[in-house]
Amino acid sequence: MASKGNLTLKSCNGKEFIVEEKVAVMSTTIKNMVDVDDSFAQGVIPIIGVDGKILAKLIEYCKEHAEADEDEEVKSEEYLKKFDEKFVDELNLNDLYDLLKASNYLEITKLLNLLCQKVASMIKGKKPEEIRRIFNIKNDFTPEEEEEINRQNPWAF
Amino acid sequence: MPPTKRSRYYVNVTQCDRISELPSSIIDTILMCLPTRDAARTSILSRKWRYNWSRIPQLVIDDELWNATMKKYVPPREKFLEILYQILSLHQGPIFKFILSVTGLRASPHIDNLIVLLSRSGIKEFTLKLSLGEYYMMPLSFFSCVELMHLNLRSCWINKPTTFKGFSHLISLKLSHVYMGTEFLQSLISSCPILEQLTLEYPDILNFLEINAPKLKLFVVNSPIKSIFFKNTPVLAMVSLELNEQVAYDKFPKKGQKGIVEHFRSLPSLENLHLDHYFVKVFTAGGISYMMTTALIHLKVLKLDYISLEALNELSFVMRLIRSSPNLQEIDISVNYDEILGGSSSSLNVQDNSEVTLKQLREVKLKYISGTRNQMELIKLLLEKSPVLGKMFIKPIPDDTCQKVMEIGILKQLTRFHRASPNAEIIYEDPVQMQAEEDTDTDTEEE
Repeated sequence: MASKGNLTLKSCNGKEFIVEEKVAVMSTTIKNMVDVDDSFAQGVIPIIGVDGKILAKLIEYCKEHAEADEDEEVKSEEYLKKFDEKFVDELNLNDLYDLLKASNYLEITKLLNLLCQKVASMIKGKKPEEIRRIFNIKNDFTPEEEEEINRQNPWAF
Repeated sequence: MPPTKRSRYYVNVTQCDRISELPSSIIDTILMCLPTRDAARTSILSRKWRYNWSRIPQLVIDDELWNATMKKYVPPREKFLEILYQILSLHQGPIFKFILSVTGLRASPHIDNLIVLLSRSGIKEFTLKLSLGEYYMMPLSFFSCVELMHLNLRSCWINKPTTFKGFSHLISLKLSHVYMGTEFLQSLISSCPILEQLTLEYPDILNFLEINAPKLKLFVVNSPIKSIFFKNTPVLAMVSLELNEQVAYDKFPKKGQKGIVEHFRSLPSLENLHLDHYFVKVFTAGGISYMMTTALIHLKVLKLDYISLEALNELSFVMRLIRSSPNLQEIDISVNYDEILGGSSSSLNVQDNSEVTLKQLREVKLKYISGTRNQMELIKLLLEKSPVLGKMFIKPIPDDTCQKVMEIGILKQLTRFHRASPNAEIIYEDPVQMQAEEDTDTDTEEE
C-alpha cells in the first residue's frame, strides 16, 4: 500500500501535477495502479492520452469531491451541486468530449455520470435537426430510410 | 460579457462529429440519462446512431412517455401492447432495468410474456406499477428473475410457488397493494439475505409480521398492521410506521414472542423513527410502564404525527421516548388538534423531567401549536435542556375566532423561557392552512 502522501501525475504532453493521494484515488484506475504496485506511489504516474489542460480540470473536480467526502460541514451537498453545475457549464464541446473520454478511462464514475447528464440535457426535448447541428452530426440517411425509421417507432416521432 | 450557451457551442465546435466517435459505453450512459422518447429519437440522427438506442439495457415506459406520445390512443391497454412490441422487437442485448408505470394501465395476461422475456434478460431492477382495481397475477417466471436487485410492484397478486429459493441479490423491495399472504411475505423477506430497504403499503389489515433481515437499514410501513416483531434486524436505522387507521393492535401476538413490547429493544441501530398517531395510540393503550427501559442511544431523528399531548398515555410516551434518546438531533412533532378542545387530563412539569438531557438536539419542529399548558411546558423543557439547539420552528393552528389572542399568548410565554443554547433561534411561523397542509409542510421557513 502506498503511503498517504502525495502522488505525481504526468499528462501525455509532459505536464506534471502533484496531488494528494485522496484526490488521485477518486479515479479507480489510479487507485488500482497504486494498490497493486507500490512504485507508482513513489514515482510518476503517466496518464496516457490525457493532456495537461484536461488533467488539470480532472484534478480540480476530484479535489472538490475528495474534500467534500472528508468534511461535509465545509463542502456541503449544496455546495457540491453548485460546483458541479458551474463545472459543466463552463466547458466547451471539445473539452466535454475530452473529459468524457478521460473520466471513462480513469474510471471517475461520478464525473462521467455528471458529464453524460450534461450531454443528455443538450439532447433532451430537441428536434433531430437541432441535435445534429449542435453536435455536428451529418445526416447520412436516404429519405426512404428516414421514413422507415419513423415507421418502426411511430410513437417516438 | 460571458458568451451565451448557444454561442459557446457554435464557436468552439470543431467541424468534425466527435460525439459519434465516443466509446459505446459512454453513448449508452448518455442515452440512459434521457427519457425513453428522446433516446429513441436519436435513432434518426445518422446511421451510426440508428441502433445505439436499441442496445441500452434499460426500458422505461412511464407516464412521461405516455403523456408525450400516446395520449391520443385510448384505451391504453391495446396501444401499449403495440408499442411494447415495437420497442422489444428492435431491442438488442440484456435488459437490466425495466419500468412499467402508466396511470390507467391495468392487469393484462400479455404482461406474462414480458416477464418471461425479462427473466431471461438478466433483469436487475424491475418496477411494475399497475392501476388499482384488479390484481395482476404474477406468472411463475417472475421467480426466475434471480438477478433482481430492486423490485417495486403495485397491484399484483403473488402466489407462493412450490419451490422458491429467494432473491439472493435483492437490495430494495417495495410492495404496494400486493396480495401475497402474510406468511409468504415473511418468508420472502427472510429469503433475501442482503435486503436493505423494505417498503410496504397495504390498504388491508395485515396480521402479525415477523421481520428477519440482517442487512435491513430502512423499513417503511404504510398500512394498518396488527403486529410487527423485529426478529433479526441488527442494522435497521430508519423505521417509519404509519398505520393510517385505528386497528386493534395485538401486543402479544404469539406465544413465546414478545412482539410490540420489544419493538425498540430489538433495534440496536435505530437512528430515525417516524410514528403516526394511530401507532402511538395502540402502542400506549393500556399503559406503558413496561416499555423502553433500554436507551435509544443512536436515535437522531424523531418524528411523531398528530400526537395528543393532552392525553396521559401519549404524553408519557413522548416523554419516555425523549428521555430514552440522549443523542437526539431533530424532533418533529405535530399535535393532534382535534383533541385539544377536550382539555387536559394530565399535565407536564419540567421539574419532573430534570434528568432529561438533549446535548445533541439541533432542530425542533412543532406543528399545530395552540398554547396549551402541556405544549408550552414541552417547549420550555426542550429549550431548557438543549445546549446546542439551533432552530425551533413553531407553527400555530389557525383559529378563526381568536387567532391574535392565542398567538400573542404563545409568544408572550416564548419570550420568557430560558434557553440553554445561546444560539437558539425561535422561528414562529404563520398558521397552517388546513386544506393545503401537505404542501406547507416544509416550505414556510421564514424568520
